[in-house]
Amino acid sequence: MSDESILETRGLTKAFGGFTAIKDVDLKVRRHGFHALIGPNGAGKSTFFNLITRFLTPTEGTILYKGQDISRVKAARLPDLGILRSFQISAVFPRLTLLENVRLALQHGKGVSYRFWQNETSLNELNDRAESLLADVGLGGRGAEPAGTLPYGSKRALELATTLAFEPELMLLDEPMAGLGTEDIGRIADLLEKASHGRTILMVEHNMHVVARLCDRITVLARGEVLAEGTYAEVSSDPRVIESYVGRSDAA
Amino acid sequence: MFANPRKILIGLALLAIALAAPAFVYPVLLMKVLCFALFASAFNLLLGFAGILSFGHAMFFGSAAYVSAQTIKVLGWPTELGILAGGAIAAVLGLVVGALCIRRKGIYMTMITLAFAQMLFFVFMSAPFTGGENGLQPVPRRAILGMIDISNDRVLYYVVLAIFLAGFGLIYRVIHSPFGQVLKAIRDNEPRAISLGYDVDRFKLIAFVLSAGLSGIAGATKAVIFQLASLTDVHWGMSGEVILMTLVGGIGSIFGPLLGAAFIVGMQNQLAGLGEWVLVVQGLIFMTLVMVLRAGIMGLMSDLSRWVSKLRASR
Ligand SMILES: Nc1ncnc2c1ncn2[C@@H]1O[C@H](COP(=O)(O)OP(=O)(O)OP(=O)(O)O)[C@@H](O)[C@H]1O
Ligand SMILES: [Mg+2]
Repeated sequence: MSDESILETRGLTKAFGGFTAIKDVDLKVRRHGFHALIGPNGAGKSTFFNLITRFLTPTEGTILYKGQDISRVKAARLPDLGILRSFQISAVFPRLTLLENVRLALQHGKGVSYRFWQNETSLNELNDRAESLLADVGLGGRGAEPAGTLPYGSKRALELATTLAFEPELMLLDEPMAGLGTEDIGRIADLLEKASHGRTILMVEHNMHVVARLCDRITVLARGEVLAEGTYAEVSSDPRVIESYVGRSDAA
Repeated sequence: MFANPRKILIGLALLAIALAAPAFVYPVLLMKVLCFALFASAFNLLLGFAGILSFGHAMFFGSAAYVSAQTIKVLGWPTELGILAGGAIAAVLGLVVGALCIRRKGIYMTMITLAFAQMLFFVFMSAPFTGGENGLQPVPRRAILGMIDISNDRVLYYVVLAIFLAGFGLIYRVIHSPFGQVLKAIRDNEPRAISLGYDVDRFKLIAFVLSAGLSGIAGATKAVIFQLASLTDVHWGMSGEVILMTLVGGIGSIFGPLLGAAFIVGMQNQLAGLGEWVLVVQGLIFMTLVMVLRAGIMGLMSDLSRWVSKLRASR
């Protein structure tokens, strides 16, 4: 059962005009695995992400989620299927409060979101759940603060609380540690480790300490193609991988 | 939020002022303020809460004015039905224009609203049923529900106040509803709202239709007050005016557009004696206001109240 893949791409290709950013990528993400996607800057990681999260449309290839082709499904439909993504830069709703941010994830499941004639106080029944989700990421008791004034690390934590509110089966994280200090990285990594129990995570990440600690499988992408795949030990000793990172000023 | 006693007191005080106002100010001027306050609030629902800048809102305001004038004057409909018909047609127009523009981003979206509004302007200018340069007039003031005689300006004022309160109340509710929460989320971070499963286009379209319909109610009511629907109502200048009212009052604040409308209508009234120079003086005042008050009059008021409470605290 645990060897079964939950997400699979077959021959996934994306061209921007004449430039092919993703070339014929076959990738399998195991159910309940913690899978990392790494690679030098400009390798195509975000593009690949935007393809599987349907923010971009593939030029060729298919994306299978639980065996179903989702390569033409609308982005806004994915959460209903159990897939939730994050963004390379933190994505909170700055002018809403922390509580409202998390509640927006809970509200979706209630099916009341088109009710423009209903008082928003009807959403208050979600407050307890939202508060406990905030407490889980270390933001307990701060529900009334506006999200925009939080320091960056806390915004990341808030985003995670919002994502977890959905209880997604598959979480797709684009560089969750980007822009964070050492202390915050440790904190967010702890949260991710906890969140990974019982669900699948595919994560783009530059920080190799984090990848080594959390991930059980790693795919290396370079110039839009899969360069190597395996455990951290396998990948980090692969000469092709070393070469793709060395000779670049941005070696991780 | 609703149980806040201070807010209830302020609301009651404002209501008392609104009820007593015709004893002190010319009722037609007050009605004009109410119409534009509703128009600007409907516009602000779109700009301030859905992040959509329309530069063609005159088409909803003006088309509805023509529809109510036509149905009441030519078809002999009762006043209340004429106004509702104006709002309904504006909402349908909003559905069409909204469906075509919301998928575009930024300036392209705005240009589509402008293009539609210009097209409609030329249709109305050449169509026989609009009375061309003279407009449609006089629109008879038929009794509301066959009972309330509105030939008297003071009586009509209270009817217009009721229409305004209903329209403004709906906007207030929309902003403070589960739907309003999603709208604010979309305004704040659209990709994140999509990734949380919200079909952003549909939310924007509903907001567009609500805004258009309520702008229509404002325009239709205007035709009843002035007994006239004219090309001024569909002219792009009208679209510009509602943007200015919202800007001056404070984008995205609920009461800002009311203040903006009162300020601009009041100012135009005061400066009427200046003739052609009105536009120049008006332009200078706008420039100063927009440059000095980035969050509009409403922003200035909240800055002042923060300052006062800080002063009190330091005592
Ligand atoms: N919309 C686009 N149009 C044209 N080219 C694009 C577009 N998006 C990305 N690219 C190009 O595709 C390549 C891959 O970009 P992508 O953002 O996916 O890289 P990445 O691996 O996420 O890099 P980073 O580590 O810097 O985030 C880059 O060369 C980029 O310039
Ligand atoms: Mg990237």
